[in-house]
Amino acid sequence: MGQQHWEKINNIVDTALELEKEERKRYINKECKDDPELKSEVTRLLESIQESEAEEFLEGKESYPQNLVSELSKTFEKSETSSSLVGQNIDNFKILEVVGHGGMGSVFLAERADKAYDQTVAIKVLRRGMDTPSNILRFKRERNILAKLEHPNISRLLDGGMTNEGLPYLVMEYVKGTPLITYCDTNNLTIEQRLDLFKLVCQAVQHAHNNAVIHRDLKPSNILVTEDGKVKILDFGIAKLLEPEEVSENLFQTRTGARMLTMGYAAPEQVEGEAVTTATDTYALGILLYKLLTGVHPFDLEKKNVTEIERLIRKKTPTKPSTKLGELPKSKQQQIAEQHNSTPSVLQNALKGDLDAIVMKALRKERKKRYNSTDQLLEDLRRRKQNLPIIAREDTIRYKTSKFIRRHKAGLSAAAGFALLIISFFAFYTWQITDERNQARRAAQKAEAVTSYLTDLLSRSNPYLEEKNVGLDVTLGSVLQYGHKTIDQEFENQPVVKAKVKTVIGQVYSQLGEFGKAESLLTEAYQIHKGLKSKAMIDQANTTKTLAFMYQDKGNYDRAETLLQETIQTLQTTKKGLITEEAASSIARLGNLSWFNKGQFKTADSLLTKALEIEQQIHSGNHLHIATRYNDLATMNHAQGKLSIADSYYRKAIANYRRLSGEHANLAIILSNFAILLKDRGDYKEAEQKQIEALKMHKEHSGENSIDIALGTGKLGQIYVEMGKYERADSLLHLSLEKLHKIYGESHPYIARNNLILGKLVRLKKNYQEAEEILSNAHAQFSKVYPENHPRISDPLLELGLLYLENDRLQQAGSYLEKTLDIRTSSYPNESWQMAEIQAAYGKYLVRSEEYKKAEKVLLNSYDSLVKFRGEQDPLTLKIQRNIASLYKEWNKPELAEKYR
Amino acid sequence: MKTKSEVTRLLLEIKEGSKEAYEQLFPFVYDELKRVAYSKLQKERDDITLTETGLVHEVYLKMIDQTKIKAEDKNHFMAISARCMRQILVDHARKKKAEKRGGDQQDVTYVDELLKARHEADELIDLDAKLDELAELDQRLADVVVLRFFGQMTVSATADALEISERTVKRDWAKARGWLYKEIKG
Repeated sequence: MGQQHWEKINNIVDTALELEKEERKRYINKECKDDPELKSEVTRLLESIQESEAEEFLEGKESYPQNLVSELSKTFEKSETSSSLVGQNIDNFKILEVVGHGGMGSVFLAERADKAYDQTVAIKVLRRGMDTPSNILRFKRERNILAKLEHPNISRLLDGGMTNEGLPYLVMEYVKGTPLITYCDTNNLTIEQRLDLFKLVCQAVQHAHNNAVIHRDLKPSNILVTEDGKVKILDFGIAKLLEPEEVSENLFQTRTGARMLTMGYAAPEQVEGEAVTTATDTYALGILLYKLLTGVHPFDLEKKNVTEIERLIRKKTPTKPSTKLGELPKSKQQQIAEQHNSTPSVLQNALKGDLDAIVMKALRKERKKRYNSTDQLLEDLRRRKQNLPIIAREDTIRYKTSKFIRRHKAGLSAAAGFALLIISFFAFYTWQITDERNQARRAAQKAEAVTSYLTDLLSRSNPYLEEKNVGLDVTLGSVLQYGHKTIDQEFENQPVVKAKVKTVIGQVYSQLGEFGKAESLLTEAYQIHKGLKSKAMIDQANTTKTLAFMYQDKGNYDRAETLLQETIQTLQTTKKGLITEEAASSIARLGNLSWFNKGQFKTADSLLTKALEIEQQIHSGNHLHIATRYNDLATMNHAQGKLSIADSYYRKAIANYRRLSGEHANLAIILSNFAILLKDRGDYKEAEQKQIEALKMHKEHSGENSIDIALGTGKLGQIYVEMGKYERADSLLHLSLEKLHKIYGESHPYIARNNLILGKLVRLKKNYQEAEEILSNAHAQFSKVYPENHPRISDPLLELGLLYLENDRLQQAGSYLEKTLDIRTSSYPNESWQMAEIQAAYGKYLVRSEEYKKAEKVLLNSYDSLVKFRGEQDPLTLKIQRNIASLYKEWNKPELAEKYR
Repeated sequence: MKTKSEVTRLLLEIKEGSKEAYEQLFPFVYDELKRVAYSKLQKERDDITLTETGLVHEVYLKMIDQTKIKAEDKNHFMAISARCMRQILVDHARKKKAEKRGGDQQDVTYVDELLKARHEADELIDLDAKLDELAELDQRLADVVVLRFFGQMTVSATADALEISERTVKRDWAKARGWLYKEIKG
């Protein structure tokens, strides 16, 4: 900007500053007539003047000069403390020398002061004091957790405490070694040798994760290789010791406060001040791997200020390792290749493909998209070595497909390419877990992903669509429609492919809820297979299964059941028989359908057990599929009132998940189910705790507006109802309903269930009229969703019965409670809390109706089984005990009444 | 070391408009401010009572012969000190930044507060550069910022030192601040 130009602006602004708003506008318009640029500059300056004033820019107590001056003194303070400690004793250790200073404190070399035995240790004195007793307590607690962390590749925490000045310190195994990357470079280690060392690091990290410890600050200087070639990770979990205590109970508040981070290795969530998870370590491992492989950092951080670096970390997708290497100056490439005992072109080729994909997956900005666990990362490295397909292949599929298309461009019609793409894409998802809600969520993700894949592909290389003038904003709907229309002519002579494509598109329609289109496509595919007569059995089974799923979603359970049975039969005729994941998932699905939709628990039990056995046979040891099957069995036993069996399955599923993938949306679902079990058993406190944990996990993985949050919130409300915390329950249930309505509209089984709980709450608050309205409504909704004698129907019936009983509408109470008792007697074992619950209610009714003899029988039965299940002090047991006492009182048997008082 | 009377004479000459006197006095005040600042830090590191105005005042008392000077002349000294202070703080920020770079920058663990200081060092260096640009366009606006921000001088002291009206100081301050805000944060 020239000076003359500035003067022009300056003059206008000077005058404008003196004017009122309207007048100012008019004045500026007049002065800047015909010069929009001048006008925009004047306006911008005026706006900035206002903003800078509002923000007190360059003003206020905390201006930079003040801060710099005070910060100067801190730098000074640090070196002062450090040197003064040399020669002194901390606890039993004599400080020998300063090893280094870091952001969090100083590290000293020390030895046993009493020379009791020869031991050199590293002592880390933290800079910051622990200001509150609760923080000190936490420091100790964390320290104890860390002290238990034992692994050959993790430097051990030996001891810790407070110095006389009140500064916390930690005594650690002293490791003398070279930082991992330096070690690799000076010894010219090859890619494979580097990967072997990296795997050791991953294993150690996974071990810590299994013990619920996250490193939070992984970086080359924290990973040393000792003289005898051992890898040691330093400072595991230390960063957490410094964090201030989280504000407890407040779920919906974001955590703020001090955070430790190393810019070059910080994950996006750390920069954004969000919660740290095991995935944060995965990210740091990704950067480390990147540096190990390419010799350079994925981001160019040189000469950048903090704001710029933060932006890079949050927004910029790193360049693929192989590409990055190729972009470096030739001399640098040569130097790096030599350090890898290789040549630039060989090295670059080695990185292309799998290693690129693995590194990029570890470095995803969104936690959820990184590896679920370090084990998974290790698994991919293993698979790469054996040339098996890798997990990170979401990226590679695109790569492979586009490459395939490039190779066969001439011979490949657009629709065939499209079919191939869509099929390989779905193959990626075959590991999906059979949870209903997860499928709904994945369907949405799939729909989105399919759209973007296809849009990308079609807009690039599809002559068909260009002719028809379909632009870049092609929607999934139009793609599907296009595919739908062209299938028959494109694959006239390839019936198997035709059936396959129809199945895939039918599946997408069914997941979008367009059952009509789905049904016709899937039926056509099904018929094609039938006509082929056992030529492609696996494909046929897949089509049959997809058709079955569609009917189940649509609510045609009998048809779904028949088709699932057929699927299983078809699979049985294939070479592998039923020992496949496909078979296991079909059998499990049939099992879930049997009890959930049809109330046939016995059949369900044997099917689900079978599915579990198959998975166990396929995957020896732990596997997510096995965890899923445990959850199926837990949920079924839970619904049946077999709480202790359900309990053990839940625990197995949870342990499995925690071990294999850390925090995970599925784990949260299981935790949430488990919380309801704890509630049913009367362990309210623990139920509350588990449910809150699940909610937190959901919040992290699925976001505030997901189905999971809506359901979890409702479940927490349900727990609070039982705890008698009505106010909290009320607001949570309403919140949950509001969210559910947003997702599902007017009616849905989940909404019905929430209404039932809300009705119970209102009944407990004695607003009988309102309660009756809500509960009748819930009952109607339940009747729509479940078959006539399904155990769940008994829930609203019981609530209504209790409501009428409290209102002295004995006749109605009697008929509802008897119906409840009928349904439950045929669905639940006699010794279950569901039975105890209805017997308690029914007994009370009988007392009111003066049928004492009958009441006695029912109540005593209920009492005995409750004592067995929940013990004598349980609230429900005590309640029945009181009912029995009042029975005997009414019955005029005071001596017996006394016994139960 | 110049004597008190020499310094006082230089200050009076500056007030009369002598460029040469300014060139002589500036490095002298700079050194003295820096020396006092650092020795202060060492003594008073426990309670950070050190403020710039306190610092400048101390140097002023030490360097100027109070009997030979009128109250408003003090503001001219303050203005020089403000310019020195700008230099000292920006140098310090640069040094800090260089130190951090010296090690493996990506590999230093920061606690939030240090991060904050880093931010501010960065911003201060930015501000310094932008102030130079502003001076190209309008020297007086830049001067007002140096005095008000680095010298923490009041509106009336700034008006005195720059020999303009308080009203002009206020308006210039608003404009300069707006311009810098737009350049740095906009």
